[in-house]
Parts: sequence; C-alpha cells; structure tokens
Amino acid sequence: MTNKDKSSKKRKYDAIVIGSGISGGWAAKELAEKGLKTLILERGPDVKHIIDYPTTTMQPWDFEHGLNLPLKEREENPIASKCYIFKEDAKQFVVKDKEHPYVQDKPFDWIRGYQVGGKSLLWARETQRWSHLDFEGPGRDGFAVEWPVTYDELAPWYSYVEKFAGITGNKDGLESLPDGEFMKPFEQSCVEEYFDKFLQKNYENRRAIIARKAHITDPQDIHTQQGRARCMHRNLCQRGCPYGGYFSSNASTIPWALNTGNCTLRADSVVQSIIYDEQKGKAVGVKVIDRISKEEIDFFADIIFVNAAAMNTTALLLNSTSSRFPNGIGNDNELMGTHIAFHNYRARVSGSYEGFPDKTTSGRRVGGSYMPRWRNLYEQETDFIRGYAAGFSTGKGEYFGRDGVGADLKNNLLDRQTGGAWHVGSHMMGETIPKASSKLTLDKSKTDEWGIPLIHFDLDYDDNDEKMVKDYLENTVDMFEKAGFTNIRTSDSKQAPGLDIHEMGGVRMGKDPKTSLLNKYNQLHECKNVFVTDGAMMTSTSTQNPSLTYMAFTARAVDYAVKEMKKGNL
Amino acid sequence: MDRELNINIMKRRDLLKNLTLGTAAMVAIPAWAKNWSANDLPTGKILAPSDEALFIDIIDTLIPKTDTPGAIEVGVDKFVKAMIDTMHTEDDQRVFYAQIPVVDAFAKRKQGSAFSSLSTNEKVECLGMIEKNEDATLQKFFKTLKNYSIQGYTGSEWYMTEKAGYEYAPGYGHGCVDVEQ
Repeated sequence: MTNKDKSSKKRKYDAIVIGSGISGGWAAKELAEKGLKTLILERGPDVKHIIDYPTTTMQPWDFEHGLNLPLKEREENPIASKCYIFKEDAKQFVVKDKEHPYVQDKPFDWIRGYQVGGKSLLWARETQRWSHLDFEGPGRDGFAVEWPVTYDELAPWYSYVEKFAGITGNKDGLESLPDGEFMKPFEQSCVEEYFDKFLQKNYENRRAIIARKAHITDPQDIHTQQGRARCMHRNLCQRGCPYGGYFSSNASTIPWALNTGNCTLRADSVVQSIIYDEQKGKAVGVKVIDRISKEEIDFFADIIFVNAAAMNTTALLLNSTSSRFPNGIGNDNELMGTHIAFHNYRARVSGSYEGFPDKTTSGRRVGGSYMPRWRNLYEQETDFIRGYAAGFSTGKGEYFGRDGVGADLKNNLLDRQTGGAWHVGSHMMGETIPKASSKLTLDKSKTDEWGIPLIHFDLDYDDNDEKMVKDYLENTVDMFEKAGFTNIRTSDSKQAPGLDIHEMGGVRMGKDPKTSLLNKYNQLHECKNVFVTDGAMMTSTSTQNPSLTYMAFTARAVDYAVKEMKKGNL
Repeated sequence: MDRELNINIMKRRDLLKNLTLGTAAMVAIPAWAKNWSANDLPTGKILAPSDEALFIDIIDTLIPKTDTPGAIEVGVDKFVKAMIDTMHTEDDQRVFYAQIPVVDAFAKRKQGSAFSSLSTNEKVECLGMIEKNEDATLQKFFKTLKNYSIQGYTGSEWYMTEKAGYEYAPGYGHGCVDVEQ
C-alpha cells in the first residue's frame, strides 16, 4: 500500500501507535481491547515471539566464540559494545552504530533496540512502583516542575498492568516503595537476608528487599491465556524467552492486541512526522517512510499515541512542523527537547563476607536484592538534592586452579571448588535532575538514510551527580564495614550518560502549558489528540527502573482517550 | 535484525523442533541439544600440515585425554582458532601462528629433539619451560594458547554438563542451601 493507492480510506484507523516497545505494546493492547481499529507502526523489522529468537535455545557451547564478539564488530560498534547486552547471543536486537548515527556534544552512549518489541526484549525487568515521595520530589525540592499526577491517581493503574504483565515480589510494606500485585517472590540469599536484618536494626528507612521483577513465578489464568509460562531460571532473557517467562511486548501485549482482530502491525515503518490539519486544529495522521523501499506512505487516525522511546519520541514531535507549529507539534513554549535526564549508574562497591561458610545458592537466581532510596527521603539531609537506590547482589562463586601443564593442569580444571567467602556487591541508581541545559535538538544539516534529521545530544553529569556518587560510595562502604564485610573495593566507572538505558524527558508532563508539554492525561497541551506515554513524558526520574511506570501511565491515558472520544471531545 | 545470523543459526539446527508452548513443565533439555559435537565448529585458519599437527600436539599435551576427555576430543583446537581468528588483529594473528614452529625449535634446542618425537613427560616439561621462558613473544603465544584452551575446555559440553553442573533451565534459584561436601 502506498500513497499512490486511490483510497486513503484504506489507510484510515481509529488510532495509531508509533512504536512497539514496552509502552507502545501496552497502548496497542488497550486501544484494540476497547474496540478501536488500531495500527501499530514499528520502525524496525518484525520479531515474532519464539520464531524470531534465533539464539534462544542455544547452549553455551553452541556459540563459536563463547559469547564474545569478534574484534571487527566491536571496532565497528564502539557505542553498542559498551552495553552488556551486545554479545554473541543478543547482538541482533541492538542497534549498530553505523546504521543509526547521531551527534553528541559530550559523550552520550545511546543504546537502542529497533525491532518489534523494541527494548522490551532486552530490559532488566526490574519493576518498582513510584511512591508519593517520588511524585512529590520536584515540588518539595524545587526543580523541574510539579508532577500533575499523584501516586494515588496512578496506583490503580499500577495494579492493572501488574496483574497482566506478571510481577514477582514480596509485600514489604514500605512507604517509599509501595507494594504491588505480586506473585510469589524470588528467594534472597542468606547474606541478603542477613544484610536486610542488619539494616533494619541499625538504620531508619534502609532495607535490602528481594528484587521485584516482571517474571512469572506462579502463572495465573491471565498469563496462561497469553501463552506464557513460569520463569524457568535460564537467565537468558535478552535472547527472547521461549516460555514467555518475563514480560515483553513480543510475548504479551502485541499478540494480545493482534488477537482482538482490531489491530494491525506494520513493521519497517519509520515515522517521519505527525500530520497536523490547520482547519481541524488537530493531528490527522502520520507520514511514514518505508524502511526498505524508502517509499512515503501516509496513515490517518483520530488519535495518535507516540511511544517511539523517549529520545525518538521527542525528535519525532520536533520534526513534525507546520505553520501552526513551526518548532514542532505542541511546542509553543519551546521547551520540547529540554530537561532530559537519566539515571546515574556510575558507582559500585564490592566486598566479601565470611559468614555462612557452609551455605551457598543453587540453581540459577534471576535477581538479587534491592535497596530502595533512603537518602533525603523525608527531608533534605545533604548538600545535594534527591538520592539513590541500589542493587545488592551476593553469591558464592565456583573456581578452579589454572596452574601447570598436562595432567596437573587437567586435574586443576576438574577440581572445582565452591568459594569459601561470599562476594557481595552494590551498584548505585541515582536520580539526576532534569535541566533546561540538558537537551536534544535536531541537526537539520545532517540526515539519516530515511532523510530524517539526526538527533543532537547535549547533556552531562553535574555537580549534584558528583556529590551523590561520593555520598553513595561513602555510605555504602560504611554500611558494608559495619555489616562485617571485608575486602571492600569501590569504583566509579565514569560511564557516559545513556549507558544506563534510562534516558527520560524531552516532552515533560506538568500542570501549566507554559512550562510543560503534556497535561495530566499525557495529551499534548496544544494538540489534544496526540498522547505521549513513553519515557519522554517524565517530569523527573526518581530512582526506580522506569518501565512499569510507563505501562501504568499508558493504560491510564488510553482509558481517558477512549472515554473522551466517546464524548466526542477528540 | 541481523538476518544473516538468523539464517545461519536456523540452518545449524531446527530451532523449535522440540519446543511446545503453554506448559510449565518444559524443564527437559531438547534431545538435539545433547547431540552437539566439536564437528559443528568451523575449521578455522588452514595451517601448513606440519604446523597443524604441532598445534594439535601442543593442545593435546596441555590438557590430555586420561580416563576423561582431553582438549582435542572436545574440540579445543577449533575453539582456539576461532578465537585467534576473530578476537585479534591480523598482525597479532600472524605473530601467534608464526610461534607454532618456534615451539619445535625450542624443543630441539632444549631437549635435542622435535616436539613430536618427545615422550609425553618430555612434552609436558617442554611446555612448562616455554611458560617460564624469557622470550616475550613465545611466552605471550603460550599464555594466549593456554587461556583460550582453558576457556574452550571448561566451556565445552562435556565439561559443563559433567563437571560444572550446568543446567539449561534449572527452574529454581535457591538462596541458601548447604554447600555439598
């Protein structure tokens, strides 16, 4: 189908969803379930559940290079190679540097997944709710703008998406990290349990709880109906899971949307811009460039959900110009593309623990433990604002000797021992502050293969981040020492922003159209039938892994959009 | 996505042969997964016959067959080549392969005979001397060869399933169990 086709009616839908990642999949599912004729546009190729997971059932010894990538591929992809996912088993799901260039003022390591399912195939699957303390952050500490939504407004939608996606966790009863709809939790190790008890005894508001993750531990009917089964602890999620044990668009929302009969998926569809109709005063469709044929095709709809991933969503809106919106659709205040933020993952602390010498772990653990944010939780305590959560993982390695040659070496290799001491490790997940100076613009002098302007990034860490790294390291070392851990080592990778793969903002929500782009229902203030429900909407970043929050906002926005359509308001 | 990778892998095995969906009881390893053999690995760089024989002899000496499989049986020679040929610059590859005959020269100088003519004990002794010798290039060759041989051996199907307790899909992850004595 191309624009040459006579009838544009064939290209008219009730709703268009741009992007098929974690939030786009949810938008499509909700819209199609509510009876709207929905078109999903995905810029990359299709990845069908199981069928297009070429490596998923391969054994470690099936890989020619022990999962390492050849030097040539690493040299050709200096940015992708920094990402832990870019290995022999999952490289097919990571964007190659050369194919999709961008411009950087300061290093920004942008990791992308251009295929049906997007990065939902690759994510770390950590799913923590935000609490009221997170939503109230900008208001309390005077940065960015106030969130237009409260925790209480979002809470039912967290429940709604959690039940369908399948979340494992423990009801810990924490104000800072509200409980959700959990299936049975994974197990903590003896050392994680010990550390949690140590924290509870010695500190206010510090805990090490079992990770909450989008894994099925106890399949409910709703999961079986999706064709998904219990997580089998393979820990090979990034290849795509043949059991559907973790949540991805591919295993869950997209097939569900397609099964309604109301939804069409068009892969290889690079959206160039949103079409704005001056007479109607609203968006009427999108302009697509076919990824392969490079043909231009317009599709039309009454409402448009933009879920192209935070940075691409922002760029797409900026590129959607008209005489009404010369700076990009909905961008009257020219704030679009500013106040980009991310998570600070630079710092780590590791050590050993001599306790529980006769205990170890068995099978394969899917996740470790998690320390919710405690710093500056209820009041300002430090000379920097906000705080950090931390991953806390422990284990006992097996090792063997490597000395000698011949029978001696072989005996060493075959004599595997379980380590005496446990290793313990913590990594920081810090909130960064969205600022006007942290921005994304379009570089119109350079275009990609599809004639679309390249994204130009200009953002970096700031003094607040540096102080936070220091505070995290000092406090974690102190906690580790007091807990009796030894051989404590600290590191600051100084990794560039972007490698956290939690880039957020650019089209932030807010109460006032003068200082924000989206209203409390994720509508562009100035163009109400365009909704943005991916990371671009984020007013602030807090410390939680963001995907669950995108899912909840998306389901809530679709519910509102459909109600408004029925009232004739859209 | 990388279609070439996709096709290559699909060619190598009928991926979904033994997979069924919708049941939680899929712990068993598909039958084909057990049938992998060293023959599935690419042959790697073609060496001169004498170098190839020596290369094999060195790796066989390094991790010999005893009452359990040795390095050659599990395909370590092919793995080492696959790593050398892709993980290193072309210059480094040339330097590496050029050191194979140097091992023979070393054996002749120190033990008065070609490597292949030495007894098993003498071969072990020879590699032991090479590991500690002062020629930086030869020492680096040996270190690289040994590291990749250990990686290949401990990553082989036999080692992982028989010695490392590897399970494809354990179905559980316990946090606190007794260390097995």
